[in-house]
Amino acid sequence: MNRQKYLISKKIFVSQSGWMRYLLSVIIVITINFTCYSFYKGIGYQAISLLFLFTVSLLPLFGFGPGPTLLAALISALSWDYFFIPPLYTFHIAKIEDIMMFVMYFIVAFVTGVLSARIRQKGLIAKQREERTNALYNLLKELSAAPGINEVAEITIRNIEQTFDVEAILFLADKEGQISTKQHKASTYSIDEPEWRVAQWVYINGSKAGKFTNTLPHSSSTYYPIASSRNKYGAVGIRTFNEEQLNIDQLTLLNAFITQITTIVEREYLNDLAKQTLLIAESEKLYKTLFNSISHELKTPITTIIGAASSLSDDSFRNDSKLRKNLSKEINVAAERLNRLVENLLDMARLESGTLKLKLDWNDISDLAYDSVHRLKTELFNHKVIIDVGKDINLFKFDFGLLEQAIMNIIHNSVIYTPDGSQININVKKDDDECIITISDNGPGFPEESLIKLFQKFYRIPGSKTGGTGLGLSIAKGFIDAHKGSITAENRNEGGACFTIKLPMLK
Amino acid sequence: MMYKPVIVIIDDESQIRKILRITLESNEYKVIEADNAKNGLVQAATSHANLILLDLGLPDMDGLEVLKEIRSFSDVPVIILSVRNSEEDIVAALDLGADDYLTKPFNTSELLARIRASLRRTQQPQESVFKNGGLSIDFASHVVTKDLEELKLTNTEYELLLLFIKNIGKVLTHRFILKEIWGPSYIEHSQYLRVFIGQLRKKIESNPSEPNIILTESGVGYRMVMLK
Repeated sequence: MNRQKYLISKKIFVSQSGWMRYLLSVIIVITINFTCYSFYKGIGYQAISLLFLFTVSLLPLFGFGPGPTLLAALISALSWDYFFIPPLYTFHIAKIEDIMMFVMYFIVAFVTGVLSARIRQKGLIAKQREERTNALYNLLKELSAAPGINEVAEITIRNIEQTFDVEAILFLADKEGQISTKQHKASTYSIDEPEWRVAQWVYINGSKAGKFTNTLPHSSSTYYPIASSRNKYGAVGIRTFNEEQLNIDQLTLLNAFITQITTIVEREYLNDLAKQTLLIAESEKLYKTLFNSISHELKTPITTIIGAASSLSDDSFRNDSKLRKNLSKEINVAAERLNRLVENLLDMARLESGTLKLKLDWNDISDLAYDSVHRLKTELFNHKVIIDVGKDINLFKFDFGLLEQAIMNIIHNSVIYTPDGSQININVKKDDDECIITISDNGPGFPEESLIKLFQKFYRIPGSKTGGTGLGLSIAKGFIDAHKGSITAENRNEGGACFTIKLPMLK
Repeated sequence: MMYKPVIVIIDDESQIRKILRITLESNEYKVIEADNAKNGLVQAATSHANLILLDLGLPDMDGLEVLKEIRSFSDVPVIILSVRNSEEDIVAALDLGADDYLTKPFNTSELLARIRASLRRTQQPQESVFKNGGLSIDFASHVVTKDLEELKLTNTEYELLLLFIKNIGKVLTHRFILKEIWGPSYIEHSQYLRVFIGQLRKKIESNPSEPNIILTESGVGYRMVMLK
């Protein structure tokens, strides 16, 4: 709709700047002529020349070019002579001063008209230049804020479309350096196979081709390469609505556009490349950490189990019931450790897979606190636990299983990092529409430099005793994040570690 | 010869079957093994089993389907064996009529306790007075006492308590309790259940925040246990 309106107004403007303007200037002069004719007797014919002069010098202000202005000057001079300068109704001028005035009138009208037309045109050019600069500036501003290649493509196409009033199509190259067979989804039209070959040619050869060029001029669009000295990134095609070529100014601007677009596309490609390199390095590091820590964590309990089991089947231990009991206990401890590791890995996999779905249900947070502690009673045998749940906390919705796992991981962490006999405090209170759970202990606390890394995968505080993979807290954080909550860790002023969990109380 | 209860194990892992067989046989049970759903169904139908241990992850059929088939011809107690993080399957199985569940890995003393509880339920004679720890309920007079002190229970609380007693040792899913006490249109209103469980615990538990009669089964439901 908008486009059509725009085109119509442009059409009027174009035709007006042609023969219509000449006609209009003639009509204006004739109108002034007849108006003056009816009352000139009162003011005298010299004053009429000033009126004519006034009209002619005004014309350029209303968009009349030098041609129509000159024509108006000529006609007004002649009609002044014919209708007003005595003898009337002849081109003959009797008095010498009238001849002088006539010539001077003509020269002044001519100079005024042409000069003001020139000034106006200069103004127009300056305005056009400003518009171009603005268009380029807008493009740059938008492009530099674009977060990804798709946004870059979308901005490119939209800006070309709006600035030049054309349709635009974009083809980008893939990682293997092949130009895509499908236009980018932001493109405003689509093309057929032979037409695509033109775009491909442009991409491969790095020079423009298609309509209005010397190469493949029978195509429906003109294609320009998006390529820097370093690499080729794609091709952009444009198609005008009126089958006319863009003018030289527009072409210059288009070239500037394409240069900027190329720079930005190149930036995106390099960014991607850098990200990928980083990703590979990260995943290699992760793989190494995983391999080292997990293989150690897996092998230790397995070694214990195999050792203890083979001892149990050894005849020499048959009668030593105390020893047999100890061996079975060791097997049990090792198996529990193995089980915890597997559960942690499974939880991590659930989080990483992105398929984690919350089973939100009305639950009692105090139920959760007591149940978590209850389920850890073996581990907590040598610790003192104090639970304090505020009385004003109503039921709210959360995933009991996941949140319990998170809380258990944190409590378990406190158990591992505090000496026997330490105290663990679990506090639950309500703050506005948030539930705040703090889990604190009176152990040694965290080394300052570890605080920011605590929730990272596989991170363990340097010098921790063996038995642990550094997954527990990152899983806890993952599950709490899934509830749109937050978890932070700090050292208490009076010594010891403190975890603070904030949960939105969903209704 | 002494009467031995028959337990059918339906699990595709031979190692699990073996360890279960050793444990159960040493505790005076007769064990029949089935390594897939098809054999399991045959054994369940023909062996006069007193109890079935059913693994949910079978190679030839969905464990829930097996349970459905068993329930179509028998009321034999079924204990589900499953892995952690499959609360949905567990709840589905319990709603389909399974009696109890255990998540792998489990320890054998827990398993034996669950088996004993399930078997006991099937031969439980209805007594007129139920006692559990300091708690005592006289069914005829509806009088509930804790440590010889009479408790004032609302109708709903009393019904809830009765439901737990009727299914003592068995885990009851949220849906099941809501349906039994409030009716089928209330099965999504779990907040009612939480509130009433909280109230009931306040009255019957000696320490309501550390309950030891009505236990929370995380993500699944509640279970009343028999105090020793």
